[in-house]
Amino acid sequence: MIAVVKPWHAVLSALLFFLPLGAAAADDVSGAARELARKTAAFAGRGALVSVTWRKNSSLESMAAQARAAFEAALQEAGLRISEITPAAELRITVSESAAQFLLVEEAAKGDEHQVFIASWKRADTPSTSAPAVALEKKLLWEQDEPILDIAFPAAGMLVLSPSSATLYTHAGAQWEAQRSVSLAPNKPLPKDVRGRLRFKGTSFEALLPGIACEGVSEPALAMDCHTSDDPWVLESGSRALLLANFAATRNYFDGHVATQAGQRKVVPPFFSAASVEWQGRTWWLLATLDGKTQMFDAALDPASVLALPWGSDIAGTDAHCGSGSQVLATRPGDGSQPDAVQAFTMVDRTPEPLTGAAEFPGPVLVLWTSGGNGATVMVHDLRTGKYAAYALTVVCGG
Amino acid sequence: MRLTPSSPDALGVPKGFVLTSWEAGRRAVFSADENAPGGRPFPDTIEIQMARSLRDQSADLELGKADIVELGPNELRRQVAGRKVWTSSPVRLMALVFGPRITDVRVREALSLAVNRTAIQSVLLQKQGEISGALLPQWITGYAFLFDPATDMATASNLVAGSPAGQRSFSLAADDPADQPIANRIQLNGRDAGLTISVAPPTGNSDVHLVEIRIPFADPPHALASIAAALGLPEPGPTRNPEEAYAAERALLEGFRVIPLFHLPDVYGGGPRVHGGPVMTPLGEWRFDALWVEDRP
Amino acid sequence: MTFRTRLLLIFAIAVAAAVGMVELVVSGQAREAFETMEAHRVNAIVTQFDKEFQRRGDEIVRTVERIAASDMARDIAISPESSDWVDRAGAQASTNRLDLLELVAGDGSIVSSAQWPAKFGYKEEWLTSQPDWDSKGAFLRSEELPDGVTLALMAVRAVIVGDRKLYVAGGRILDKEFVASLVAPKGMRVLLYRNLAPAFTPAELIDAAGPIASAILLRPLIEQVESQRKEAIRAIGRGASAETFHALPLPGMDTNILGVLLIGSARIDLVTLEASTLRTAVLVAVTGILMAILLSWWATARITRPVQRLAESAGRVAAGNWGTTVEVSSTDEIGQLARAFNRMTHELVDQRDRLVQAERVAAWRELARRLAHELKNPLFPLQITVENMQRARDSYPEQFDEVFREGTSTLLAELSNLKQIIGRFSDFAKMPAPEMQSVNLNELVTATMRLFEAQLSKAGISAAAQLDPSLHAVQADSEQMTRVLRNLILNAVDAMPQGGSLTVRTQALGSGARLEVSDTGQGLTPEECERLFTPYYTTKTHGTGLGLAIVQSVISDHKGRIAVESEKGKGTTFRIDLV
Repeated sequence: MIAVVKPWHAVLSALLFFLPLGAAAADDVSGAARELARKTAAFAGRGALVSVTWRKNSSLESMAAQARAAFEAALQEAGLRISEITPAAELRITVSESAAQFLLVEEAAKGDEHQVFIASWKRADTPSTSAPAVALEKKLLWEQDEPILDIAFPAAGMLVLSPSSATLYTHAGAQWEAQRSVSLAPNKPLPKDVRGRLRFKGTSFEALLPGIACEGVSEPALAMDCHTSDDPWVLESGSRALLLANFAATRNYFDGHVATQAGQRKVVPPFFSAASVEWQGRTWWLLATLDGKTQMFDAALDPASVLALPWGSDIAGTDAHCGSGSQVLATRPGDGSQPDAVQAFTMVDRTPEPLTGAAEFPGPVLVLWTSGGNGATVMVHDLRTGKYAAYALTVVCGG
Repeated sequence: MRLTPSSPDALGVPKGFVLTSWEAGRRAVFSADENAPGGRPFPDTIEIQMARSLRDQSADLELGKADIVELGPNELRRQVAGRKVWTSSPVRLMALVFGPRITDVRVREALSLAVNRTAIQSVLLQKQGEISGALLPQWITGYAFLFDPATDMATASNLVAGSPAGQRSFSLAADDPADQPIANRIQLNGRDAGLTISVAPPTGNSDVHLVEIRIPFADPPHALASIAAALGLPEPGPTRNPEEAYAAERALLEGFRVIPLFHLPDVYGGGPRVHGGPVMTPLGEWRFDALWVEDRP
Repeated sequence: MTFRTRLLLIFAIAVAAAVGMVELVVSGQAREAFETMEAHRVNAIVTQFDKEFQRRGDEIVRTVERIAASDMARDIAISPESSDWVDRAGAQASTNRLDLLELVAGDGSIVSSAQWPAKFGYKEEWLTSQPDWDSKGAFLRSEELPDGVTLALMAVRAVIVGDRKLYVAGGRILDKEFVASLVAPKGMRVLLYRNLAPAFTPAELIDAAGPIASAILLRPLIEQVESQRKEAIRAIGRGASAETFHALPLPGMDTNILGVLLIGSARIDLVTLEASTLRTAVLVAVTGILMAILLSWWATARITRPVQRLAESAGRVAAGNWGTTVEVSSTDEIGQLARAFNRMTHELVDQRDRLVQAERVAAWRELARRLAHELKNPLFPLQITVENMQRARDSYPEQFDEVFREGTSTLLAELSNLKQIIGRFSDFAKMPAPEMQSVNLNELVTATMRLFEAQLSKAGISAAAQLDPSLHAVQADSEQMTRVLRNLILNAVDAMPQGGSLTVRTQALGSGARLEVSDTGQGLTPEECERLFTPYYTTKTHGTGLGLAIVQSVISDHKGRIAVESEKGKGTTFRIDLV
């Protein structure tokens, strides 16, 4: 504490003589770990036993794992041994970060003597994985005045599902031209923040809205027939995982009654969206629940953990495998009044870690539907123009 | 804005704009720089009104008389749902600064231990910013967590009991009237430890001041030097690495002449006409060039 | 003290006593009436205070209930985040005109405080300790504020939503405005002491204008109410500033005395009335006394002067002027008294004259008797002797010569005796004026007693002289004083025929002297003492009875006094005082 600053200060001032000049940031975590181990050895004495505890920093857990491995190795190199039994010095290590660099902060105690050592490395290093750079590619698909619930691209063209109708567009040169629109005409008002989903099988499609199911064909001409329905929706994640989930007819979320691919019926907390993710060879489901958290379930939809992630209510799984495990797309938390962004995450130590930068959008993301493959369709309310836009977002694993 | 910068330099020129009108203490007008690097900003002019209280700024936003305003904790809480809010990184240090009369270090340390920062941050600051025992925030240094701002009322009471009676009573003034509730709460915390603190008006002489100091730089050495100068602390020596910077900051805080309390962000709210953003950098520097504003009906 | 003075005093005392009694009665009745009226007014004030207190309390309860029933309270109760409501209490207090308002969570932690906004999060244990607030009305409580402690009338209600609870505690401060709302009649005032500190604090005793001066005077009364926890009454101050204070305890929720209501009733009216009564009484008394003086003067003129004249006349009568009369100027008792006096003096004069006449006659008769007796004694032998001589010449011529010789000898002796008797009478009749000279009585006594030594010894009488050595010489006739002493000694010897004891004493009396001659003889009766100095009065069977008369005459010529004390069978003492 503050009371021991003076001895610290004096010792530190003395130690400064022994530190190599120009101890600037290391290039990577290993270099920083070695620097720290060297200072520790000078403090504890070569060959001494030291105990090491690691302070948790949830935003840098993956970094901490690497730093821990590097530091323990560096300690051994420096001639120190780690032991909890009668250590000569006690070390508490924290992996921290500033705007410009990462830091390894060591609080060392030897008897009544206390010292703080800090080693840093440049922030440009991304030590979480050695995977190649991953990017998100964004492409505007369609823009209209009415909200877009879903968009699909059958062979005939582009089918856009809106709260009032389904419209088939065909290419006319470089433009899309509306060919035919079929009105939905629901027999009761649709709920606020309405959601809808299109699923194509060949030329046939199914359009699902809260309490409504429509069947239709896109060829030879668009035709669609709707009826009241409480059938569960098929939630796909990537191209392989899917989940049957009941959508609350008067709400904008799934009510929690789900069934797995294997047919197991489960009741989970109500959720806005779901995404499956592959990690360590197993499939996990992530559900964005109504309380703003993300719950993790195993493939049998048994609860695994609750994650407090900086995610919004829209997540979508992809087939992208940039590094180990698949990637999940997630929006930023917001209240729907500001421009939103989507980022790709990968599982590290049972926790999703950002893999890409954020793909910014000119308005709030209204819905995120997996589009199969490595991407998802993003429906946005463009605050600049007031229109509603559909984007295709793709995770690109690249070099 | 609340403040009244003394000159355009003190105010700062938003990127992509040029100053076209300056009325000291009242208003400044910036016009879009046609030749700005990265392209002409969307807005044509930016008018900044100075010396407006947070409450008045909030009213201006509601009435449509302002497009972007500063938001304090109370105003943030009362914001209409759906309004835009931009928050910078913690770029302001709120701290207690002792004057020369309080010479007993036990009294100063006792006040440091008595202040319940958690309650103040949770309620009065509406969870804005972060509790800190350091001069520079964590996001700038990465080691601010080493300065543990613990609350220990028992130790504080013991320190007060061992201090001279004449040093236990002193006055506290909040330099910004908006911080008066925080000063009142600190008075209460001090009373619990046995200190008699009277809250003085902002303009008067007082033994302790509750101040807010802006951190103008993101690199620790410059930031620390700037903070030290603003707080009347000795100029820290040059530092070459985080370890030296930590030691320098630790030395400045020795003796409890300055008690860091919080690191606060700049928070701005935007009216319905404003789109785009954010309106500032993490360091709180204005970024109006990426904004665009709807025409008035 | 003269009769006039006594009469004046009696009149004055009578007047003063009467006036004083009336004043006391009037004052007492006035005080009683005043206190009765005061008690009625105080009761009215107390009733008014109770009503006002109750009214305020009910108003506060209603206000708190209204706040507790509001949607805001419900929202706060169920809100998971209390920090959102930190400033609500101030606005609500302002809107509802409460001085104090706290919104407190179910665990006792303050959500929002109007009177101390910085106190959010602090615990109010007193709220959670009470199980049922809804049945409780308004109550007094000492409440801590940033700048001190105050006394407030408060009410609490609990808002329960599901398992969430919110306490709404609101109230108004009992300050000078509250005291001002208690309208007191003229001459009365209402004070409120807020018992907020361990010891008496003068500044907490307030009236409608704020802290009062001289609060320290009420300290004993206030402390009495605090310790005994019941009403008390005490008079405070003196004179025109005196007041009677009724003090009522104001208990808090747990019966501790949080305040004392004091109703002061100025005694100035009573004091004025009493002073006025007293002044009137004094005026009347003074007037009465003046009148008494005049009356006594008049009474004196009417009564005492005649009485004084009577007294003067009596004095003159006592001095010997028995013919004194007084003027009779009225027909009342005084006049009757005067006439009686005059009759008395007239009678006295007549009687005196008669007495004198009688005494003179008696004295002449006595003198004549004694003279006859004295003369008869020597004359009888003379007659016998002459007859013997005649018979001898006739019958016994031969013995005639011898008889003639014996007879003539006897004749001569008796004639000498006669001559002595006549000489004594002549001496008594023409006793000379004393020739004053400085005489040492001690030496005179010693010399005289030496002369009687043989005679006293022969008579078996022991003689003693007790002479005062401090006796100095007096002016006297030594020869006459010797005669006086000799007469007294001879009398003493005659009184002790069987012997006895004779004592002669001298004593200095200022510039004069006292001479006493005491014997242990047969003594004298009181009647004999009275007549002792009457000339020719004698108890002896012989003697002329002139001895003591001569003594008295000599002493009278010396301007002295002689007295006799005697008891029959015990002895007699003659006392002579010479000035």
